[in-house]
Formats: sequence, structure tokens, C-alpha cells
Amino acid sequence: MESQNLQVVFGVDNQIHPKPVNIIYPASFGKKTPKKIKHKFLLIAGFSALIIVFISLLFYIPSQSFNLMTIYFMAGLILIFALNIIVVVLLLTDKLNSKMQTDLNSKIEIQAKNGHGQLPNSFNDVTEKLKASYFEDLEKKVQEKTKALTQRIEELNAEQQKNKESEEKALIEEAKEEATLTSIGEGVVVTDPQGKILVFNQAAELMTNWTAQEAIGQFWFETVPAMDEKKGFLIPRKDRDMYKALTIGKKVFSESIYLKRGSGKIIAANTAAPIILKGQVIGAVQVFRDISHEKEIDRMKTEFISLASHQLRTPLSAVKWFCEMLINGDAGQLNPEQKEYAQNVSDSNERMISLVNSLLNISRIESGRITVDPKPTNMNELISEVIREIKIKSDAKKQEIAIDVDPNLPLINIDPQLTREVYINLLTNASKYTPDGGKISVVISKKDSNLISQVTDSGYGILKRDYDKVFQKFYRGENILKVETDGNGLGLYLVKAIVESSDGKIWFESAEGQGTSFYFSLPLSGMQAKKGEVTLTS
Amino acid sequence: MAKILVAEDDKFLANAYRVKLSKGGFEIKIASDGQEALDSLEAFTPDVILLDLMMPVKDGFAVLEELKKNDKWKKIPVIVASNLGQKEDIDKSMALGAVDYIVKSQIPINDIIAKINNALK
Repeated sequence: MESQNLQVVFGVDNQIHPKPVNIIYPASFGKKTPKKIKHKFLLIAGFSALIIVFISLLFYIPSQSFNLMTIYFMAGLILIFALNIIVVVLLLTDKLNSKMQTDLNSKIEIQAKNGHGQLPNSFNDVTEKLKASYFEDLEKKVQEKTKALTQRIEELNAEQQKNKESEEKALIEEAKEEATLTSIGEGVVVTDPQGKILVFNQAAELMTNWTAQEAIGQFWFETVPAMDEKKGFLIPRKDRDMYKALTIGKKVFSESIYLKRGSGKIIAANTAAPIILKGQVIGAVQVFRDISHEKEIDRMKTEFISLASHQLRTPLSAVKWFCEMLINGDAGQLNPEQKEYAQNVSDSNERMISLVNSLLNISRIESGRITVDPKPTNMNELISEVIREIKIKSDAKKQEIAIDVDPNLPLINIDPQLTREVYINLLTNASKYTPDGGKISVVISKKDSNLISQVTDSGYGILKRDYDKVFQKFYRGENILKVETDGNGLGLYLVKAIVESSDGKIWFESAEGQGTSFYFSLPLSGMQAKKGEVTLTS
Repeated sequence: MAKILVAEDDKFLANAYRVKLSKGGFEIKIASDGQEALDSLEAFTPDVILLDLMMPVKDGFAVLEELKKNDKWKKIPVIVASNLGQKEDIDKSMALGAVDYIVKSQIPINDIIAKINNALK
């Protein structure tokens, strides 16, 4: 900082602990007594003596008494003594002052005559105290002043710097803001509380065919109209994102179709957010992005999935049916070995079919475009249907399936197809990963505002180290890989995706070698209907 | 002997139908696209139609629509046998008048016989 330029010269060096002042009183007085002091002393002493004698004579004459004279004489002596003291003090103070003002580190030598050795000794203390307090006081004052001055200078400097910096900062901010606004690919529009355009960036210009110069000052809603594609009319002002942001004071997201100036349109993903200052909406910012290209890619993906599903399933169906006919003996009875081979082909083919199904379903769930079509559903009927389907597999393994559905359950507004998919996957797993003769149970009950489903088996269980991987895509537990080759590691991933997309939760409890319980919750209020573009495949 | 018209463009699947249905005691005709299926109706009027959806020239939905528009054919029960398994495909087929919907990869061929018998009742 600037403080080093500031020097305060005050006759003493600016030390925190200055050296003490030594006052020396030699044993033999007189030898080193300075002449000036001696003369001064003698002069004053002589003068005092004269005054005493004069006063004594003044009192002696009228009193006429020897005793009185003696007293006067004694008083005179005392007076001389007192004056002597005063002189010594005066001399000391004089010397001390002059010394302190020049160099307090030097020695002060005081010599007293008349054998008053004790007097300077007591001055020792006085001087010490005097020195200490004077010094401390001085030091303190100097430090305080220095500090105050430094502080003030620093303050002034800082203030100046601040002003300069804030000026620069403002310029930088302005430049940054402009660069950001012009370089980002998203259209940015800022309006006042009435929806009048204040800021209109380059991307917005490109997307709408309006120039900023023309757009600024116009009303956003009229300048860039939005269209409802399905219904084919212009979206009224009250349903526009920006209007909602301005009136509700909350962020709004949507997909809108905007009409370009002249002709043409864009599909845009929007975010409109209010600008709030001290609880007051003072405007809104809308950021929008042209997603026409994404929409096209998405449509192509959907088409591809549908095509792939058809194309993959067609040869798989042919393999399936011919295997079935072979095994059935439609082409003549097979010997046991031939039958076994045909069965292996059939089993592998089934795995391939279920893998294709899972992949299709996952791509649909992941796309977020899955249709959720809730219907009031009787849980008991739904689970009974699922069990009927699973029974072929569980009967083959001589497994028991017990169902316990809370009889007081109302109809739940859920998508039966999606919920069915969850139960089928959980029950297929339960059967698959439970040894022959094991037990499986399904419990459906109400808890608070949730419907809780529990699928328990007495199977192999899940290893502790696999706990956090159970729901991962393609993950299969280490312990079951050896006992059950059939499986693709997609079932639980799909189940979790379905449950969570319906505001539910899924969790499990497991003990290795004893079994596993999977639980999932769905809100009793049911699933939210969603008009998607795809459904799960059956 | 009940007559079955199968509209199926995949020759292996068509072959499976031919073998299985013949052995099941049905008279069978295979059409390899939608238009061919419609064109063969006059000469071979079936008791049940097994109809694929994704076919060249004319797809299954278009065939269903034309069948239902024609007083002569609209009473013939149609079972849609496709590998499209989405709900909207199923819903659309049923809305157009199909009596049943089969996802081929999900059903044993034996069950198709059962479904045909069911449609014949």
C-alpha cells in the first residue's frame, strides 16, 4: 500500500520499546557537576539566604526574643532547604525536557550537592514513571495518528480504485453481456412488465426474421405469434409463456411453434422466467431454441425403432414357430437328442425375443415419450392376470405363489399395461432366481397415501456388493450368473424406470441364500395421464 | 373345410402358416401383399382372414378399411397378426373392425389355430 511513503518525524525513533533512560548519580558529588548548574544553584542559594536573613531581621527586631530568632533562623534554613529542592527539581525537569526532546536514549546525569543523595534517588522513580508515561503516551499518540492517517489515505486510495474499478467493471460487464447475448445460439428476449421488448438478441433475430431494431419497443405477443399446431390456431396472449411468467411470477417451460415474420415457423423449446426485484415483477426473460431438427431426428428414431422391432421380430417369429413345430413332432417324432437340440434353439430364440422386447421398451421409456393412460384398475384382478401368465414358469419349478391383496383397496387409477410390466418383471425374476420348490408371495396394501406392492421370494438373494448395481442397465448379480443363464439385466432397470416415471419408489431387502423382497410404491391418487407418442410393446 | 386367407409378405412365416394350418385341417391361400389379398377375395372367399400389417403395396390397415367398406366382405372375421406390438396399433386395428390381434413373436403357432377356431364360431 501507500503507507510506506508516510513518515512521521517526531524527534524520537518510532520504536515500540525504546531503550530506558539511565540516570546515574555518582558517589562523589561535585567532580562532574556542570559549571552552569553550579552557578545557577549558588546564585539562587545565596539569594535565598539573603532573603532569609532579611526576613529574620524583620521578625527579630520587633520580637526581641532570642527564642523567636532561633525559630526564625530555623524557618529560614527550612526555606533554603525547600528552595534547594525546588531548584533541583527545576534543573532536573529542565534537563529532562531538553534531553527528551532531543535524544531519550542518552544518559542523563544529575548531580546534587549538599549531600542530598536521596533526592535524586527518588527522582529516579519519578523520572522512570515520567519517562514511561510520556513515552507511552507519545508512542500511542504517534501510532494512533499514523494509523488514522494511513487508514484515511488507504480509504481514499481504495475509494478512488473502487470508482475506477467499478467503472471498468461496468464496461466489462456490458461488453460481456453483449458478447454473451450475441454469441449464444438460443434466442433471448427480455420484456418489460407489459411484454414490450427491451432486448432481442441475434439468435432471436435469425429465428423470427425480425431485426432487434424493429422488434425492440414492440409487444412480444403480437410481434412473434405462437401457434397451437394440433388445433391450428394462434395461442392467445393469456396462454403464452411470457405472459404466464409476468403474471404468475414463476418460471414456465414449454414447447411452442412460433410464426416467423413473413412466412415459415419454428418449433421452439422455451423457458420464460420473471425478473423479480424486491418482490415485484419488473419484466421477464424468455430463452428459446429451435428444436425442429431434434423433432425430426426423434421422429426418425421412433420410426426406426418401430421398423427394427418389426424387422427383428419377423425372423425371430419364424424360428420360434418352426422350433415349436419340430418339438411338437409336426414333422415326425424327434429322438430325445434331436428334441433337446431343438429345445436349445427355441430357448435361445426366446431370449432373443425378450431382449428385443426389453430394448424396445427401454428406448421408449427413456425417450420420455411413453403414453401413460391411467384407468381405474382393480388390483386384485390385475395381479391375478399376471400370476396366470407367470404360472407356466413357476409351475415348472414347482414353486408356490401366494397373493394377498388388501380387500379394502379402491380402484386405483393406473396404467394397467405399465403396472403389469412391473409385476411381470418382478415375478419373473422371483421365479427365475428361486430354486425349485421355493415360495413366492405378492402383497398389495395401502400405506398413508401410497399403494405398496411387495414381491418376495425364497431364492438366492442378492449379494451385498451388488446392492448398488441391482437397477443398472444390463447388470446381473454375480451369484445368479452361474445358476441362471437366461436373463438380460434389463428387467429391473425397466421396472425402476416405470415406477419412477409414475412418481413411485422402488427398493428391496435381501439375504443371501434366503430370498429377496422387492417393494414399490405408487401414489394412491394414481398415475398422471400423459399423452405420449409410444407405448410399451406387448 | 374352413378357408383361411393369409396376408403375409415374409416367406418363412407364410411357410409356417401353410404347414401348420394345412395340418390343422384348413384350406389355405397365401397373399404376399395387401393388394393381392384383396384381389384374391373374389376367387377365394375365406371364412377367416389372417392379416399382417406392414406389407408392401398396401398395408394391413388399408386392407381392413377396404374390407369394412365392402358389404360383400365386411362380415369376414379378420385376425391381425403383426409384429407391431404398440397399443396404438392394436387400438387402431380393433377400431377398424379386427376381431383379434396377435403379436407373432409373442405367441406359439398352436395358439393361432385356437384363435382361428375361436373366430370361426
